[in-house]
Amino acid sequence: MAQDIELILSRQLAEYLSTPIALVDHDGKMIYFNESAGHVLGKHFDENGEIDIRDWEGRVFENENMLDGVNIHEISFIKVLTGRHILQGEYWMRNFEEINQKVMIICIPLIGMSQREIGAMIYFNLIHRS
Amino acid sequence: MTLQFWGTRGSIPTFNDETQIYGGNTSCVSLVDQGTLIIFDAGSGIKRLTDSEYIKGFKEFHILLTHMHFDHIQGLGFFGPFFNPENKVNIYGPAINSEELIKTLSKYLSPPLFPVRIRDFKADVQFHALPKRSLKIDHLSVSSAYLCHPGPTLGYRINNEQTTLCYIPDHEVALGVPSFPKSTTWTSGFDLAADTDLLIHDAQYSNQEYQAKIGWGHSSFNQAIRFGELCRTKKLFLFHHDPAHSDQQLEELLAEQTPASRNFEINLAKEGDRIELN
Repeated sequence: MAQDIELILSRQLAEYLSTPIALVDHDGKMIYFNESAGHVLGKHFDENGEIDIRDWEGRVFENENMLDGVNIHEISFIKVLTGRHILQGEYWMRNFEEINQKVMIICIPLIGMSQREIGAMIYFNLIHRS
Repeated sequence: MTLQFWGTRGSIPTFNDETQIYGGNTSCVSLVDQGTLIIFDAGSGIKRLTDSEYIKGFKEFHILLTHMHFDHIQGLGFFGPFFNPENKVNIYGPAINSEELIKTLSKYLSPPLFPVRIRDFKADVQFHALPKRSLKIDHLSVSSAYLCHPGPTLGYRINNEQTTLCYIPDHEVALGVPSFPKSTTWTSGFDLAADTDLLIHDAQYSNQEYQAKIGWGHSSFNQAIRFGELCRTKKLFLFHHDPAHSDQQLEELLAEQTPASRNFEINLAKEGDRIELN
């Protein structure tokens, strides 16, 4: 099934940007991420495709010790999707190349025409790698 | 299922010696099936429909508007059945609710732009906000979805038990796509047009013209044909002809862009043409 037009247009914009951007659908699945976001995530979209929420939520942590994974349903992305508010925060992430890094995450809900909850756009800014 | 083109031109009505074959009226297409009449868009072609014998005998009308650009609504005030109290006219279009749809159309259908207001219509006029994944108009199933075109714009897919057709008159299917076509999942309009018996699709520009008009909301002949191929349609009608294109230019573009090997029919939509499906 084709994606909603708002997601299609968001992806087209993200493809042209060097800003690291990922798109998640309403279920939290990362359905697209651009080249710059791939650098932070440690994966390339063209090679790996979509990332299920179960595969990436356990890689985000609130503390540098990276012991307690962020309860993603509590803090952020799902909350952004259902609560319609923007998330901004600094987190620790162990990316798919197993590199630990501190990232700024800004997550913006995508509310489509007729108030449809479509997903979210996530901006990853790499602060530093440990 | 019978389809008829009443207006195939894009942007502005264009009547001159060079538009005699494919027509000069703006978007309007009718569909009749088992006593149900559906009208796609209300461009200037709807006046020709109103004046014809074609709609005699109908008391209920369904007008499916794709969007509110003027070339798709400019004929609305001239739709004769509005002025007969025995008629019921259903107007569908992109909006959050019916009030918003009325408000948008009232901008045109009120002074000073037009002397007659919606409330002056004698018929029972009902407004329906879309999109909806599925909608029933009598026995016909209708689905609608937003497409890539400036401003909220819908495409329609309609089917009876045997036949499926799709109407996408304004669509920049390849906006921002470096290599078109992409995967079906990421192609605007794919779900509406997939596996249809007939697809009516925007083909306003030549390849060269498209390069100068990226972002204007329309497709080239080449993109429309590739989209038809991707969607596995059986019959493609290229639509929304550029007002600057003469009949001869349209035929040249068709000849130039039609692939030698293909497994579907490609035609230029021609005002007045009637197509029997089923």
